[in-house]
Amino acid sequence: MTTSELSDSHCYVLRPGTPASAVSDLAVGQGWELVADQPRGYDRVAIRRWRVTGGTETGAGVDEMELIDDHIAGYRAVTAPDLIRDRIAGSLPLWSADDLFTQAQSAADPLVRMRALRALQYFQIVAAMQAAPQAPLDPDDPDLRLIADDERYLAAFRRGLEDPVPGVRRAALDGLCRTFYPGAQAILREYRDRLPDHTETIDWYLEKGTHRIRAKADGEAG
Amino acid sequence: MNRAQTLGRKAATRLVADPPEWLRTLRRDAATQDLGVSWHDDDTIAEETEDADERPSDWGLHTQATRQHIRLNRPHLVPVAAGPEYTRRGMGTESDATWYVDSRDPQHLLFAPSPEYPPFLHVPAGTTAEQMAQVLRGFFPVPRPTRVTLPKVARGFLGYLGRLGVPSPYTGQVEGIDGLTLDRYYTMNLYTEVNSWGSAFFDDPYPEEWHRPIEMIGLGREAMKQADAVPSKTWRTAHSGSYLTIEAHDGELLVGEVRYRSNTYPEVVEKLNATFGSYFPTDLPVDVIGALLGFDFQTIDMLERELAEETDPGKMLGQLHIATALAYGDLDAFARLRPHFDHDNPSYRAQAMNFLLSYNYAYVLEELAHTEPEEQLSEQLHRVLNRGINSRHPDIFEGGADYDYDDEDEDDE
Repeated sequence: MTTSELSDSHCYVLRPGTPASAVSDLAVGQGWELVADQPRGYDRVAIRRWRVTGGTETGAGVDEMELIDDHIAGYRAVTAPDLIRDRIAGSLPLWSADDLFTQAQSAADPLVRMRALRALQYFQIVAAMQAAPQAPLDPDDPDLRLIADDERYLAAFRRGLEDPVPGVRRAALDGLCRTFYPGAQAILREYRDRLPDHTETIDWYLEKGTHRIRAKADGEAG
Repeated sequence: MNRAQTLGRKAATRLVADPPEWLRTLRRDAATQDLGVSWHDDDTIAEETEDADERPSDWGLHTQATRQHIRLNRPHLVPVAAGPEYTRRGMGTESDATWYVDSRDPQHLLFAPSPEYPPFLHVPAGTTAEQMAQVLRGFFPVPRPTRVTLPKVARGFLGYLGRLGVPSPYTGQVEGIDGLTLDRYYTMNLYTEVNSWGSAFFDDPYPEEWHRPIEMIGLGREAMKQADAVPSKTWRTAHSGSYLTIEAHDGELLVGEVRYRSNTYPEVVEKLNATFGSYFPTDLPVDVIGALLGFDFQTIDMLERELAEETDPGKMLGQLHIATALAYGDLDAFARLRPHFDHDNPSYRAQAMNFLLSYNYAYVLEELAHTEPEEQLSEQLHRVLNRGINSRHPDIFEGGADYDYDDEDEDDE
C-alpha cells in the first residue's frame, strides 16, 4: 500500500522573505473571511484560517485556507483547498514538497538542507492526515488507522541522519521521531548507536512507538 | 463654589444665552433621538456644570501634566446632551455617553463615552446628526468584536516590571504589579471591563449576561489560566470593545498588545501625543489610551531605530531584549531583528542566545550553532539543542487573582 503522492500537494512553504501580509492581503482582496486566529505559544505555532469562497455561480464549495507561522522551525506554510490551489500557486512565491525534497537532498548550504527538512516534518504530518480517511483500520486496534509509509519522507530523513552538520541531523531526527509513518522506527533503531548525542531521545521514541491517527476523528492525532 | 464650578457656571451661562446656530438646529433634529441622545434643557445644563470638577475621576494613572490639562480645560466644557445609555458588563452599572460644547470655541460638539473622560480624550463630533452617528460607530459595538474581527494590532513596551506600579483602589498608593493589583486597578478603571482572562484564552470567554455569582467565580477562575506561552492578562476595553493584553516577558518586561479597529479621529491622538510627549499609534481608540495612561508605549520601530544607531554592546542587548519581546508573535518583525543576534563579542552572543531560548526560536539557534566560533559556547548550544529547548517565562500574574478567588470560596463556605 502506498500513500498517494498527491497527499501533500495542497501544502506549500512560502519562500523566505515573503511576509505574512502577502497571504492576508490576498485573502482580503479575494473577500475571504478570517475565521480563526490562534496565537503562538512556546511549542504551539501560530495559525490563521480564512473561509475561502469561490465558483459561486456554479455552486462550488466553501473551504478554508490555513497559514502557519512556525517560529520554532522558521518557516511559513500555506495549505490551500482544491478550489483555490491554482490561484494560490499563481499569486504567492511558494515551494512545494518536491522543491523541499530537492533542497534537502542537494542544497550546498547546510542551513537550506536543515530548513527543508524542518518544513518536511510538517508536510509529512499533513500528508498522513490527508491519507488517513482512506487508510485501513488497524485490526489490533480498530480505533486507529494504519498509515502506510511514504518513502519520500523516510528517505529524506534517513539521508539527513548522515549529514555532517549537526543541525541537519537534528532536523532529520525530529522528522523521524514525530512521524506517523511506522517505517521510521526501523530507521531509528538502525541509527541509535551511531548518534550518541541522541540516544536518550531515540530510546524514548522507540519505547513510545509510532504516533497514530484515530479512526473516529480522522485528522486528529492519536 | 470651587474654581471649576465658577468657571463652569460662566461657560454654561454664556452658551445658554447665545448658543451657536448649528446647536439650535441640531437640538431640534429628530434624527439625534434615534441615536439614543437626549438634549439637556437650559436648567439641566446649569445643573450639570455645577458638578464640574477639576480632578480626574476615571481611576486612571495620571501624571502631573494630565492633571493640569484636566484642571485647565474641563471647566470650559459644557455638557449639552447625554446618551446613548449603556451598561458596564460585569458591573451592571449604567452610564451615559456625554456630548459637550467647548465654550471657548463653540464650533462643534465633542463626544465622550462617559462624563468621567478627561478632555484630552474627547472626540470632535461635528455639527450634524450624521456626524454624531459617524462618531458613535466607533463605540459600543454590537456584537462585541472578537479576535478575528479586530483587524489592527499595536504592541508597545510598557516598562520594566520593577519600575512600574498601579494605584491601589483602597489607599491610592502606587503598588507593584502582579495579577491581583492589575485586576484591582482595571476593575476600578473607567476604560476597561471588569474581568480579565489569561493566555489560555484567545478570545473573551465571558458571556454577555452575568449568571449566578458562583458560576461567574468558576468561570473567572477558569479564565485566569495561562497557556504554555508568555504569561498575559487581557481586558476588553469598555467603549470600543478592543482587547488590551499585558504580557510579562522573562518576568521583567511588560509589553502591551492592543487588538482594535482603527479610530476615525487620529487628530485627537496626535494632539495628545504632542501635548504629553507620548507616542501612541494615532489610530488607537480613546478608551485604549485611557487604559494605558501612565504607561510607556515604545513600539518596535522605535527600538529598531535605536538598535541601528547604538554601538555599546550592553545597551544594544537591553534594546534587543525589549525588541524581541515586542516581536513576539510576529515572525516578520523578528526577522528584521535577526542581524542583531550576530556580534563579535562572545558575551553579547551568549546573552542574545538566551533571549532566543526563552522564545523557542530554535531555527535561529541552529543557525548560530552552525557559525559559533567559541568552542565552549558552541558546545553549550549544541547540548541545549540536542536535549531540546525548555525555557519558560515566569508567571508574574500567578497568585494574585487566585488568592482573591480563594477568599471568596471561603466566604461561600
